Amino acid sequence: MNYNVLVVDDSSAVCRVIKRCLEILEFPLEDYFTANDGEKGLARLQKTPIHILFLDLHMPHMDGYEMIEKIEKLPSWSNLTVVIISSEPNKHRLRALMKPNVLFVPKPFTLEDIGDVVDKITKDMLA
Amino acid sequence: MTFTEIELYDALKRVLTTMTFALVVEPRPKDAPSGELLCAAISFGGLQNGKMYLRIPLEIMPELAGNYLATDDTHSPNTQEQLDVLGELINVVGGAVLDRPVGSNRAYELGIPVIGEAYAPGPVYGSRTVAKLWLERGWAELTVDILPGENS
Repeated sequence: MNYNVLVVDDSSAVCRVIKRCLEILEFPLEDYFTANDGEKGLARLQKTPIHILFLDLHMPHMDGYEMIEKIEKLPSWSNLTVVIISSEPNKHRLRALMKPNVLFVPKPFTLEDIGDVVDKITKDMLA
Repeated sequence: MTFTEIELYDALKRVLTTMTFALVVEPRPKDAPSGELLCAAISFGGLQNGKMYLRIPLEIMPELAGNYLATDDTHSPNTQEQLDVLGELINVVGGAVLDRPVGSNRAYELGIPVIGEAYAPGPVYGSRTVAKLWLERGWAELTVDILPGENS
Protein backbone atom coordinates (compact mmCIF):
# COMPACT_ATOMS: atom_id res chain seq x y z
CA MET A 1 0.00 0.00 0.00
CA ASN A 2 1.20 3.50 -0.83
CA TYR A 3 0.11 6.53 1.15
CA ASN A 4 -1.02 10.06 0.40
CA VAL A 5 0.59 12.46 2.85
CA LEU A 6 -0.39 16.07 3.50
CA VAL A 7 1.76 18.45 5.53
CA VAL A 8 0.09 21.64 6.77
CA ASP A 9 2.67 24.03 8.19
CA ASP A 10 3.41 27.69 7.54
CA SER A 11 7.11 26.85 7.56
CA SER A 12 8.17 25.63 4.13
CA ALA A 13 11.34 24.36 5.82
CA VAL A 14 9.29 21.90 7.88
CA CYS A 15 7.37 20.78 4.79
CA ARG A 16 10.68 20.02 3.09
CA VAL A 17 12.22 18.30 6.08
CA ILE A 18 9.28 15.93 6.58
CA LYS A 19 9.43 14.94 2.91
CA ARG A 20 13.18 14.38 3.22
CA CYS A 21 12.62 12.22 6.32
CA LEU A 22 10.05 10.09 4.49
CA GLU A 23 12.44 9.68 1.55
CA ILE A 24 15.30 8.62 3.82
CA LEU A 25 12.96 6.20 5.60
CA GLU A 26 11.89 4.81 2.17
CA PHE A 27 8.30 5.38 3.19
CA PRO A 28 5.89 4.20 0.45
CA LEU A 29 4.57 7.56 -0.74
CA GLU A 30 1.85 7.77 -3.35
CA ASP A 31 1.62 11.57 -3.33
CA TYR A 32 2.97 14.30 -1.09
CA PHE A 33 1.03 17.54 -0.65
CA THR A 34 1.78 20.66 1.36
CA ALA A 35 -0.29 23.64 2.50
CA ASN A 36 0.85 26.69 4.44
CA ASP A 37 -2.33 27.23 6.45
CA GLY A 38 -5.41 25.39 7.64
CA GLU A 39 -7.71 26.77 4.95
CA LYS A 40 -5.56 25.42 2.15
CA GLY A 41 -5.04 22.17 4.01
CA LEU A 42 -8.78 21.73 4.44
CA ALA A 43 -9.34 22.38 0.75
CA ARG A 44 -6.79 19.69 -0.11
CA LEU A 45 -8.44 17.20 2.28
CA GLN A 46 -11.81 17.81 0.67
CA LYS A 47 -10.62 16.91 -2.81
CA THR A 48 -7.92 14.28 -2.23
CA PRO A 49 -8.02 11.13 -0.09
CA ILE A 50 -5.27 11.66 2.46
CA HIS A 51 -3.99 8.90 4.74
CA ILE A 52 -1.61 10.86 6.97
CA LEU A 53 -1.85 14.52 7.86
CA PHE A 54 1.15 16.19 9.52
CA LEU A 55 -0.27 19.31 11.15
CA ASP A 56 1.28 22.36 12.76
CA LEU A 57 -0.82 24.22 15.33
CA HIS A 58 0.37 27.81 15.05
CA MET A 59 -0.36 29.20 11.62
CA PRO A 60 -1.89 32.36 10.19
CA HIS A 61 -5.49 32.43 8.85
CA MET A 62 -6.76 29.06 10.07
CA ASP A 63 -4.60 27.43 12.74
CA GLY A 64 -4.29 23.73 13.51
CA TYR A 65 -6.87 23.80 16.31
CA GLU A 66 -9.56 25.19 14.07
CA MET A 67 -8.58 22.85 11.25
CA ILE A 68 -9.00 19.78 13.47
CA GLU A 69 -12.45 20.98 14.53
CA LYS A 70 -13.44 21.17 10.88
CA ILE A 71 -11.91 17.93 9.64
CA GLU A 72 -13.54 15.95 12.44
CA LYS A 73 -16.82 16.59 10.62
CA LEU A 74 -15.57 15.31 7.26
CA PRO A 75 -16.54 11.81 6.09
CA SER A 76 -12.85 11.07 5.50
CA TRP A 77 -12.01 11.65 9.21
CA SER A 78 -12.26 7.95 10.06
CA ASN A 79 -9.70 7.03 7.41
CA LEU A 80 -7.23 9.71 8.41
CA THR A 81 -4.41 9.76 10.95
CA VAL A 82 -3.35 13.19 12.14
CA VAL A 83 0.18 13.75 13.42
CA ILE A 84 0.44 17.04 15.26
CA ILE A 85 3.96 18.39 14.98
CA SER A 86 4.32 21.39 17.19
CA SER A 87 6.33 23.23 19.78
CA GLU A 88 3.05 24.12 21.52
CA PRO A 89 3.93 25.02 25.12
CA ASN A 90 0.31 24.84 26.31
CA LYS A 91 -0.10 21.18 27.26
CA HIS A 92 -3.67 21.62 28.47
CA ARG A 93 -4.75 22.84 25.06
CA LEU A 94 -2.80 20.10 23.36
CA ARG A 95 -4.29 17.36 25.51
CA ALA A 96 -7.78 18.37 24.43
CA LEU A 97 -6.89 17.45 20.84
CA MET A 98 -5.80 13.91 21.58
CA LYS A 99 -8.03 11.25 20.06
CA PRO A 100 -7.39 7.67 18.90
CA ASN A 101 -6.37 8.79 15.42
CA VAL A 102 -4.41 11.85 16.56
CA LEU A 103 -0.73 11.47 17.44
CA PHE A 104 1.78 14.01 18.65
CA VAL A 105 5.43 14.61 17.79
CA PRO A 106 7.06 17.49 19.67
CA LYS A 107 9.40 19.91 17.96
CA PRO A 108 12.33 19.70 17.64
CA PHE A 109 11.83 16.27 16.08
CA THR A 110 14.34 13.80 14.75
CA LEU A 111 14.33 11.37 11.84
CA GLU A 112 13.73 8.60 14.38
CA ASP A 113 10.65 10.41 15.72
CA ILE A 114 9.14 10.53 12.24
CA GLY A 115 10.13 6.91 11.63
CA ASP A 116 8.47 5.76 14.85
CA VAL A 117 5.23 7.55 14.14
CA VAL A 118 4.87 6.36 10.52
CA ASP A 119 5.71 2.81 11.61
CA LYS A 120 2.90 2.93 14.14
CA ILE A 121 0.46 4.38 11.62
CA THR A 122 1.19 1.85 8.89
CA LYS A 123 0.98 -1.06 11.33
CA ASP A 124 -2.38 0.19 12.62
CA MET A 125 -3.71 0.69 9.11
CA LEU A 126 -2.68 -2.80 8.01
CA ALA A 127 -3.98 -4.47 11.18
CA MET B 1 10.39 37.53 33.98
CA THR B 2 11.75 34.40 35.56
CA PHE B 3 13.65 32.77 32.74
CA THR B 4 17.14 31.95 33.92
CA GLU B 5 20.16 31.92 31.68
CA ILE B 6 20.49 28.17 32.26
CA GLU B 7 16.90 27.53 31.15
CA LEU B 8 17.42 29.55 28.01
CA TYR B 9 20.74 27.90 27.27
CA ASP B 10 19.41 24.37 27.78
CA ALA B 11 16.47 25.02 25.45
CA LEU B 12 18.69 26.59 22.81
CA LYS B 13 21.21 23.77 22.99
CA ARG B 14 18.52 21.09 22.70
CA VAL B 15 16.93 22.73 19.67
CA LEU B 16 20.16 23.46 17.82
CA THR B 17 21.59 20.01 18.46
CA THR B 18 18.43 18.27 17.28
CA MET B 19 17.54 20.49 14.35
CA THR B 20 20.91 21.49 12.93
CA PHE B 21 23.36 18.93 14.38
CA ALA B 22 25.50 21.82 15.57
CA LEU B 23 27.91 21.20 18.42
CA VAL B 24 26.90 23.64 21.11
CA VAL B 25 29.20 24.46 23.99
CA GLU B 26 28.94 26.37 27.25
CA PRO B 27 27.76 29.96 27.13
CA ARG B 28 30.35 32.64 27.10
CA PRO B 29 30.21 35.81 29.12
CA LYS B 30 27.25 37.97 28.25
CA ASP B 31 28.69 39.61 25.21
CA ALA B 32 26.62 39.70 22.05
CA PRO B 33 27.75 38.17 18.75
CA SER B 34 29.45 40.52 16.35
CA GLY B 35 29.43 40.80 12.56
CA GLU B 36 26.33 40.98 10.42
CA LEU B 37 23.40 39.43 12.25
CA LEU B 38 20.01 38.12 11.30
CA CYS B 39 17.32 38.66 13.90
CA ALA B 40 14.10 36.71 14.38
CA ALA B 41 11.46 37.50 16.98
CA ILE B 42 8.42 35.78 18.40
CA SER B 43 5.87 37.19 20.82
CA PHE B 44 4.26 35.20 23.57
CA GLY B 45 1.44 35.71 26.03
CA GLY B 46 -0.42 33.83 28.71
CA LEU B 47 1.15 33.52 32.13
CA GLN B 48 3.38 36.42 31.19
CA ASN B 49 3.80 38.26 27.96
CA GLY B 50 6.90 39.35 26.18
CA LYS B 51 9.02 38.86 23.14
CA MET B 52 11.88 36.53 22.38
CA TYR B 53 14.70 37.44 20.00
CA LEU B 54 17.20 35.16 18.32
CA ARG B 55 20.24 36.80 16.77
CA ILE B 56 22.44 34.69 14.58
CA PRO B 57 25.45 35.52 12.42
CA LEU B 58 24.48 35.78 8.77
CA GLU B 59 27.52 33.81 7.65
CA ILE B 60 26.50 30.60 9.44
CA MET B 61 22.92 30.50 8.18
CA PRO B 62 23.71 28.56 4.96
CA GLU B 63 25.34 25.77 6.96
CA LEU B 64 22.66 25.67 9.67
CA ALA B 65 19.89 25.71 7.07
CA GLY B 66 21.62 23.04 5.00
CA ASN B 67 21.96 20.82 8.05
CA TYR B 68 18.31 21.22 8.97
CA LEU B 69 17.04 20.71 5.44
CA ALA B 70 19.40 17.76 4.95
CA THR B 71 20.57 19.13 1.61
CA ASP B 72 23.58 17.57 -0.06
CA ASP B 73 26.90 19.37 -0.41
CA THR B 74 26.14 20.53 -3.95
CA HIS B 75 23.07 22.53 -2.93
CA SER B 76 23.44 25.58 -0.71
CA PRO B 77 20.10 26.78 0.67
CA ASN B 78 18.95 30.02 -0.94
CA THR B 79 18.07 33.14 1.03
CA GLN B 80 14.39 32.27 1.36
CA GLU B 81 15.18 28.78 2.62
CA GLN B 82 17.59 30.23 5.16
CA LEU B 83 14.95 32.67 6.41
CA ASP B 84 12.40 29.86 6.63
CA VAL B 85 14.79 27.83 8.76
CA LEU B 86 15.49 30.83 11.00
CA GLY B 87 11.74 31.28 11.50
CA GLU B 88 11.40 27.64 12.44
CA LEU B 89 14.35 27.89 14.82
CA ILE B 90 12.87 30.79 16.80
CA ASN B 91 9.51 29.03 16.86
CA VAL B 92 10.96 25.83 18.29
CA VAL B 93 13.31 27.62 20.69
CA GLY B 94 10.29 29.60 21.90
CA GLY B 95 8.30 26.44 22.48
CA ALA B 96 11.22 24.79 24.26
CA VAL B 97 11.81 27.75 26.57
CA LEU B 98 8.14 28.18 27.45
CA ASP B 99 7.46 24.46 27.84
CA ARG B 100 7.54 24.36 31.61
CA PRO B 101 5.25 22.68 34.09
CA VAL B 102 2.60 25.01 35.36
CA GLY B 103 0.26 24.59 38.28
CA SER B 104 -2.84 25.91 36.62
CA ASN B 105 -4.71 25.64 33.36
CA ARG B 106 -3.01 28.78 32.17
CA ALA B 107 0.11 28.49 30.12
CA TYR B 108 1.92 30.32 27.37
CA GLU B 109 0.75 31.03 23.85
CA LEU B 110 3.26 31.59 21.09
CA GLY B 111 2.78 34.07 18.27
CA ILE B 112 3.94 33.83 14.67
CA PRO B 113 7.69 34.28 14.02
CA VAL B 114 8.83 37.55 12.47
CA ILE B 115 12.11 37.57 10.58
CA GLY B 116 14.30 40.62 10.21
CA GLU B 117 12.71 42.53 13.06
CA ALA B 118 15.01 45.19 14.42
CA TYR B 119 16.50 44.35 17.77
CA ALA B 120 16.07 47.39 19.93
CA PRO B 121 17.64 47.02 23.37
CA GLY B 122 21.37 47.35 23.94
CA PRO B 123 22.01 46.47 27.59
CA VAL B 124 20.37 43.36 28.96
CA TYR B 125 17.24 44.04 30.99
CA GLY B 126 15.40 40.80 30.30
CA SER B 127 16.92 37.32 30.16
CA ARG B 128 19.80 36.43 27.89
CA THR B 129 21.92 33.46 26.93
CA VAL B 130 24.74 33.16 24.45
CA ALA B 131 25.62 29.83 22.86
CA LYS B 132 28.76 29.00 20.96
CA LEU B 133 28.37 26.74 17.96
CA TRP B 134 31.06 24.70 16.30
CA LEU B 135 30.42 24.29 12.60
CA GLU B 136 32.44 23.05 9.65
CA ARG B 137 33.42 26.61 8.78
CA GLY B 138 34.53 27.50 12.29
CA TRP B 139 32.59 28.74 15.26
CA ALA B 140 29.94 31.35 15.81
CA GLU B 141 27.97 32.76 18.68
CA LEU B 142 24.27 33.33 18.79
CA THR B 143 22.10 35.01 21.35
CA VAL B 144 18.61 34.55 22.71
CA ASP B 145 16.99 37.40 24.62
CA ILE B 146 13.61 37.50 26.29
CA LEU B 147 12.20 40.90 26.97
CA PRO B 148 9.18 41.46 29.20
CA GLY B 149 5.97 42.88 27.78
CA GLU B 150 4.19 45.89 29.19
CA ASN B 151 1.89 43.87 31.44
CA SER B 152 4.53 41.55 32.89
